Amino acid sequence: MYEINTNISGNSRLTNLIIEYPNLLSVLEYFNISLGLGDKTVAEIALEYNIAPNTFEVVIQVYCKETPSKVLSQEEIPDLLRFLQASHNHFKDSKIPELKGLIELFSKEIPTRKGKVLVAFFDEYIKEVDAHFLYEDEKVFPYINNVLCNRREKNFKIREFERNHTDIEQKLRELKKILIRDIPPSVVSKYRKQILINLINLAQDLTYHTQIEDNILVPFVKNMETNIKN
Amino acid sequence: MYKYVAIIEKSQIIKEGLTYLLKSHNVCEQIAKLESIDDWHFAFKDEKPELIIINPDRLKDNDLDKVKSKFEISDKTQIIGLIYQYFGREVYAMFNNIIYITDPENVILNKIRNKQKKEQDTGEKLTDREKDVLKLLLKGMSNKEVADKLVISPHTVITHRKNIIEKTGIRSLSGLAVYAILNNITDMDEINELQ
Repeated sequence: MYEINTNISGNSRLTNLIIEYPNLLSVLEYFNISLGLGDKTVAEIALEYNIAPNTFEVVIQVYCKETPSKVLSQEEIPDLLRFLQASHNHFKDSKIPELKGLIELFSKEIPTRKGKVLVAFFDEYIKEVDAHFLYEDEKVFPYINNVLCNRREKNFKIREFERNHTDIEQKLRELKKILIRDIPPSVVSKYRKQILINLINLAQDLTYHTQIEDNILVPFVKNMETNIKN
Repeated sequence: MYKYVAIIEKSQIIKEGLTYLLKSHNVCEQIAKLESIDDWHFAFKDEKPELIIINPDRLKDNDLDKVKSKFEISDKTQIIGLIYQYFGREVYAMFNNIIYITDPENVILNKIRNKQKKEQDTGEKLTDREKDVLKLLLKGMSNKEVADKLVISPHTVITHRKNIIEKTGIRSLSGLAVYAILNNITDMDEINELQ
């Protein structure tokens, strides 16, 4: 396996990275890491919180827009799954409901009940996201756990996930456009900007999340699949 | 997934390597491999590629615009530069994206796929006909039903739909419903999904 030189490694200090790449705050959240990091490095934090160091490092690299410098081993994948699962929970239980609440408040400030369509639109998005995560939580991740234990499943291959991996950022892009372009300037509300900021953060977070699934998890599982003997 | 991709590059090894990468990841259905831009007319007659990956040394005088007009390449075509030698910055700026041959596999694939995802709306206003089509679609009608109602072919309806998406940058019907209401194209009561 090759290694690529990157600017970010286990020796980087986490505080400095977060200042440069604020989206890393989500990574801390999903790994349950508290702020007050002192001068600790990426590797030191991984050790302290009992995370496989390489897993922590590649996740951070993705969130810093860098190419992962390591290929994860079989022992390092469970922590990656734990991370992905925790992010699903945060999306479902906190980030998306928070947005929904803001959109409801905002919709009331749009005259002649027109705000209702905005809420209906977001409700549809929530359904889409729920289905997307449910499929991963109930089908894909258990399958990967089986693969990790060298167990084969007859009716499923990771290729199927690759093919079904839907784009859950599309509607967020549309919503951004609607907020910026289509809702007239006469609608004055503090919520519009707040929703936009939340949306931008959520979309970025989802992008990194998907990159981890598509570029780290899927290639790993494909490789395992070819190695498991019948 | 792209239907048709063109790779324009002299080195056989690089051409074949890139082809293998694209094929094995289902990035496209068909790949045309050209050694020079002058083979263009020979390679493409009716169907034009949606993505061109080209080494800038295959361009004469580094003039991409000239090539585009000469071979009638539309602005919608994605053009990615394939780089392994020194070029000035102005050359990089001609392309939608740049692939370096030192890029790892996933980075190359991302660069190619990112462009597929990116949707810029053209910012043009919808025509009256497109507004009619949109209204009927939001009522819950199928392409066929809209076609019958407006006495046009289903194919024309599909073309209108495509133009609506391109102009608004909104793909989903529920998103288009929001767009139509906010822009006074239709009324709340006219929308199927809200009933």
